[in-house]
Amino acid sequence: MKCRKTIRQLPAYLDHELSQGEVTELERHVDVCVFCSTELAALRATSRMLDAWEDIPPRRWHMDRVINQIRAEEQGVTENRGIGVRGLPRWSVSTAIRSAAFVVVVAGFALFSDRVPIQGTADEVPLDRVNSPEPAKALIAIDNYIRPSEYGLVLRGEDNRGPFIPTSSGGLRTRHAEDGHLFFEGRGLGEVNHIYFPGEGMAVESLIPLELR
Amino acid sequence: MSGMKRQFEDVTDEELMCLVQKGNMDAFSELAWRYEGRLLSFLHRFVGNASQAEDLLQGTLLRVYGARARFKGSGRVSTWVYTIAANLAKDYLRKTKKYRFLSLETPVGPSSNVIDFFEAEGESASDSAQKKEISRMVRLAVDRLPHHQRMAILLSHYEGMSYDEIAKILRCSKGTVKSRVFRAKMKLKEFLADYLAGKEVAGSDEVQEDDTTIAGISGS
Repeated sequence: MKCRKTIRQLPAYLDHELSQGEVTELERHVDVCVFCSTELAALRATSRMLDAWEDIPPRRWHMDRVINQIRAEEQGVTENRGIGVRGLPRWSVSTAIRSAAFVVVVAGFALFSDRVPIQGTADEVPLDRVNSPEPAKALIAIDNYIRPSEYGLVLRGEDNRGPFIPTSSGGLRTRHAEDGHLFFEGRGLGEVNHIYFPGEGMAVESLIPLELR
Repeated sequence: MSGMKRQFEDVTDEELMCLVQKGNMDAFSELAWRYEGRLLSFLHRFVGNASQAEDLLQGTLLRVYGARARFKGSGRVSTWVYTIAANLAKDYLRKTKKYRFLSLETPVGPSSNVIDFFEAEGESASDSAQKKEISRMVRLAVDRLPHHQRMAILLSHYEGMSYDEIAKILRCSKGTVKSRVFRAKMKLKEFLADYLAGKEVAGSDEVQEDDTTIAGISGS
């Protein structure tokens, strides 16, 4: 076997893409050829360096965005906003929803940390269908631009992969948002670690991880 | 609820896809969950920009669902999904005039000495600071590859795909894949040797201050 052929086969050899016969022939040559064995060592070192480029962990709301958009589109709630199936424009998110999401995040963390007192009454948005041994209360600050009577909240438990927990979706009344806050309580909140705030049929930038108490 | 078994945990991708074709959204959710991490890393490495990679990921998942009826049961779901992702990513780079975005989080100074990486058998790689430096070098080196070689090396090295699978995804022959991987690895070896010798890629000095900057043009 000549060096030229060996060199061309080295990457495939490292990728286990050669036949047994080719492997035997290549290894026989590399064993006696300083040039090719050096080249093989360099390629192995290169592969080790490539391994240093680690995976990028996904943010959890990727999938939820997609699923909510599909659901919304199938229900005819939206008219092809954000990423289209055919094209690939930027995900379009209104400033109002972004700011609302931010406020909700802050309020959510504060709420479940027990360091901030719950404001107002908490019986206005019952979550009586949610099943949990520990009743809980929640306060969510919202942006004035958001009309909860139109969007509703969707709560989800476990690791965001499980089924939806029956929620107050669609049941929030506008008057609860008059002071910029929503209140709700119910069993099961202790298991809820995400809140969707689906603006115009989509949960965009609005999957809110909550710190549980 | 932690520790609960997921509904479709024991179901294969192909079985899941059958359910998705019947409109089962929970099955699609499971399928998307299985692929989102891998796809995001793949897309991020290809386009070099986290935000664009996220958009491409969402576009990929939407297309997977929208085109679910066109999936043939005889093929592998992973091949089909990656084909969609690869096509979207290639289209994206073509539409953006082949510019690549580089995120330079950890500038490498002239005193950086990573030659030990070649000589060590893992210990130096566990050092996070050094690993970040090497990671950045690799990112810059891969960025310099032409699109088709970059795609081949990403699918081969990072996604662990066989040359046969890559050939299906890229719609070319296995020989072409072998050739692209060969050229890519040889170039990477050369590029990384440059870095190890203390050289920086041309133009990188100007972009180190910006987190996301157009750093160069990738030829194809």
